[in-house]
Amino acid sequence: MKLRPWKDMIDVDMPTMGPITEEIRKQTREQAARYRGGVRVSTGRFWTDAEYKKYRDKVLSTPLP
Amino acid sequence: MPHEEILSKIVEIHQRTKALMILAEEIDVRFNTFLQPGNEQRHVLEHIMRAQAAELGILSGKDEAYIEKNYDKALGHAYRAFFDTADWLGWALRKKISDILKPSSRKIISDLIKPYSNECIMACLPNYYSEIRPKLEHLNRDIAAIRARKDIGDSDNLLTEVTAYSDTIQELLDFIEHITKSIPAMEEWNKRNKRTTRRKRLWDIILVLIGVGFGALLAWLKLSGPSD
Repeated sequence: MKLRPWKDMIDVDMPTMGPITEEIRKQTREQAARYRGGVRVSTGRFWTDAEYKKYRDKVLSTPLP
Repeated sequence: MPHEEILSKIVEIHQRTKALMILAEEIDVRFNTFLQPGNEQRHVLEHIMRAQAAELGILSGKDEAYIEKNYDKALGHAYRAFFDTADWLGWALRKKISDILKPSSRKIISDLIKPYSNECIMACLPNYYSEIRPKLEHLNRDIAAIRARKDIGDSDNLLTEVTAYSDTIQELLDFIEHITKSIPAMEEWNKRNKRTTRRKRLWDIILVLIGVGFGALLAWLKLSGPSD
């Protein structure tokens, strides 16, 4: 493995984030002690893609009073 | 479009997105965050870096079209981050308003609160049906339509749309504050309405009893009257 020169990296895309799944949340929680970012993310307080879509659709399809 | 103009648009949209994101995390039903806008902002940074690398001469052999293309892409991702966040905040606001005015059955049991009737809402929040509800419906629908567009950054008037949606969200936030302040008035309306209904029902019973009594009296008079 060899680190590429930084000038060669300019037109290279960042790694894709990929879908956010329940498995990712589980792994994030398990590795919380090693994570140095926000508490919200490290405690798994984020929407997974499936959850977000399901909950959003449910809220938007519920008629307002 | 001059680079300074694109960059100033990106700056404005980025700050507006941040404002929405802070609010959305506070309002979110589960106090969750939504990671998708952050991913878009990562792309914004990436494209600005590419454009700047060419502008500063770090990257040789790149023409004006390359710089322009990357600034445009950065702007597109900034817009998408804004609308992803606006969508999230939009349905979170809808849920909040709905929860206050028409709590779910589980909430009704746990908090001993009752949903407010349409008459109560009309009496205490006169602009709800005429202004707020249509605005909320439009906001949810329009943002979803913008998000569904493939090339979100192509439209010339998106900055106007960003401002308009920010203003609508502010209006809805003001309205939530107004609803929260109106809860005592709505409770009072409910109590008054309950009293009136009870009194009306009591009067109905009294009237029925009077009718029955009067009927019985007539029957008795007829029976006990002089017989031939």
